[in-house]
Amino acid sequence: MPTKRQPFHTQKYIVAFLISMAIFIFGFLVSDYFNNRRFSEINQVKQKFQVQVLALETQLVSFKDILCADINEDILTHELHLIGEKLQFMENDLGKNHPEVKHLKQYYTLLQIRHYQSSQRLSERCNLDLVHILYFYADRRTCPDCQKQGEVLSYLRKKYPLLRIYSFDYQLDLPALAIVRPRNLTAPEDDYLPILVIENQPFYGFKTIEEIEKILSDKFGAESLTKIR
Amino acid sequence: MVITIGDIIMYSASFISLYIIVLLFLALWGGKNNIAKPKSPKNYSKVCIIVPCFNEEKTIAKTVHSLLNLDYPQDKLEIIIVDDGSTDRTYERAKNLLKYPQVKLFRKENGGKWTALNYGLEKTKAEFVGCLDSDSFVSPQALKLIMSHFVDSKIMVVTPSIKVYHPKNILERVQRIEYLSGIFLRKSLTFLDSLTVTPGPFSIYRKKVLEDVGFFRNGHHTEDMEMAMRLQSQNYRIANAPEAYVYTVSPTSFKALYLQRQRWYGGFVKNAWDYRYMFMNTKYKDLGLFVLPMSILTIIIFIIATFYSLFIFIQATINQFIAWQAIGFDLTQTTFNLNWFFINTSALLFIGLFILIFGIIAVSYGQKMSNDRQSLVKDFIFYTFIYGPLLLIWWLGIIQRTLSNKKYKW
Repeated sequence: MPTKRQPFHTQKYIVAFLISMAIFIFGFLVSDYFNNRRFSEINQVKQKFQVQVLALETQLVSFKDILCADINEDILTHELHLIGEKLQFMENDLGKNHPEVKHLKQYYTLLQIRHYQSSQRLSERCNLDLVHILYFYADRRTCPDCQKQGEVLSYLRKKYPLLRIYSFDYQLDLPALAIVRPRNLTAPEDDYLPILVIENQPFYGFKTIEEIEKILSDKFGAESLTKIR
Repeated sequence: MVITIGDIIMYSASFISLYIIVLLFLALWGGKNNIAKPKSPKNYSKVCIIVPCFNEEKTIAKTVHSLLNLDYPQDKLEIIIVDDGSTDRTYERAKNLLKYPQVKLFRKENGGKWTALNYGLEKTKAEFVGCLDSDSFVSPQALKLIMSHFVDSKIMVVTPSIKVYHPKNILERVQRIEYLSGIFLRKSLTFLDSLTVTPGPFSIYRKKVLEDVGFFRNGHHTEDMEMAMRLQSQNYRIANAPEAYVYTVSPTSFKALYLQRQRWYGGFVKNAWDYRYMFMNTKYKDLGLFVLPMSILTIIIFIIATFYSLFIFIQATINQFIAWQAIGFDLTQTTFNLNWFFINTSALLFIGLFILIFGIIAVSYGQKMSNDRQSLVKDFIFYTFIYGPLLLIWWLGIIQRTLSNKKYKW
């Protein structure tokens, strides 16, 4: 015989909703905790780096005959790269418009510009054979080849330790970027990107490992690649 | 923070999954505390088990022997084998079983499982009837455990737990976990009065209820789903005995499994459509207001979320492939950073971890109930990575078949 159904378990649905919401909130809180730890770690490295850049700049400006052996430019470069990697991770995770990410990125860009300028001067003063490449990228929609170009540059950076590569978000809203950004581009930016600037000369569009090595060898002589290796 | 469509899809999918699994646990927990344990009947009633078979020469003897080995008064047990027009030696093999007084054998023209079941139903006068697919085997205590639920006169059908028989390859192992989680699911749904399947292997009915609502129908090749929906639509109560377990031989090849799921899930969708008046119908309480609508919503969300995840995964893989191609796949210069900083700690990951833990508990419950002592670890890992894509393929097949109006094969 048919039976009367159990009443609708309203209480269970409400309790299940509350438990699910609690787990959801917990998930966001834990995630937020780790993100805050990351930001504080970046800030610590950033502050340490800032002091080191200032020290380097002071040395370059103050002393006529600086002791080149005393300057650990490569450690500074490594730390700059480390900040960049961490920032990139945060950008991928939280999005480029996250206020903290945006702020850190602007700051990191300024640090890169200062490091680039100091490194250029140091290279001249101490005859270090450093080769500087400025790399301008954008998001995937504007620059589909940028991930590929980034991989090529990472590869070259590891292959040639004296190569100094600085990555700049072309679309970043930061007036100081104009100091290093190539001028007089008339067509839409996605026609140009990615852009590489090697010793003040811009190269537009994706460049392979071989093409970059050829540019370097044309510019600095065939032996330059062996030197920076 | 910018919220993308992808975020909305993934967070909605995880919230709905989390909500459903929490609710099922609450239903199980509340149900167990409120419902008295079934008692053994004073007198055992006569039970007829119909074994419909079509080309099952390899398993028919084993199936029937498992019934003969049941711990149940043998004079109260009737076994009716209905050969549904087999073209192999099934009938000859079944004839050898006629030496047992409980066994009766009939042969008819092929007409599908439901016709064989109805044929068997016509031939019995037993008070309780059940079916055992001829590729399934029962555990000795199963019938006694099931019959103890019928002490409650309101119970019209009792369903068992189903386990995969000797899982060997990856597909069978994935199905093992699926079936174990099914034990948890079925028990929880019982407490919400919302079982929508009375599985072919060894669901036992009061014959009276089948006479009242009518015998089996084709039900889009899923007569067990159709029968359950029909019983639910008329407010007949279906119980579940998780500790009464039945082994079933699961499909071993991708194609066989695909075809089985096309039939099952296609049958679910079509039966749900046939009984659509039950959806959002307050008369059907938890079943109408939550379980049925949520089962459809879950499928839709699952397809969208899995599609989206696969799309993201494939896109990232292609991009990485192109990037590595640009360096001639020379990964000697590539370093992988193991710093904690680069470990994914998104909220989705932690919520996913909770869902995973609930999933493991649900499967362990199924394992405990069905007295399964094999390790779960390896099979669970296979399940975690393989089941999602498999489910997506099956459901895409259903959509494609429904759109092109193709028939389901056995």
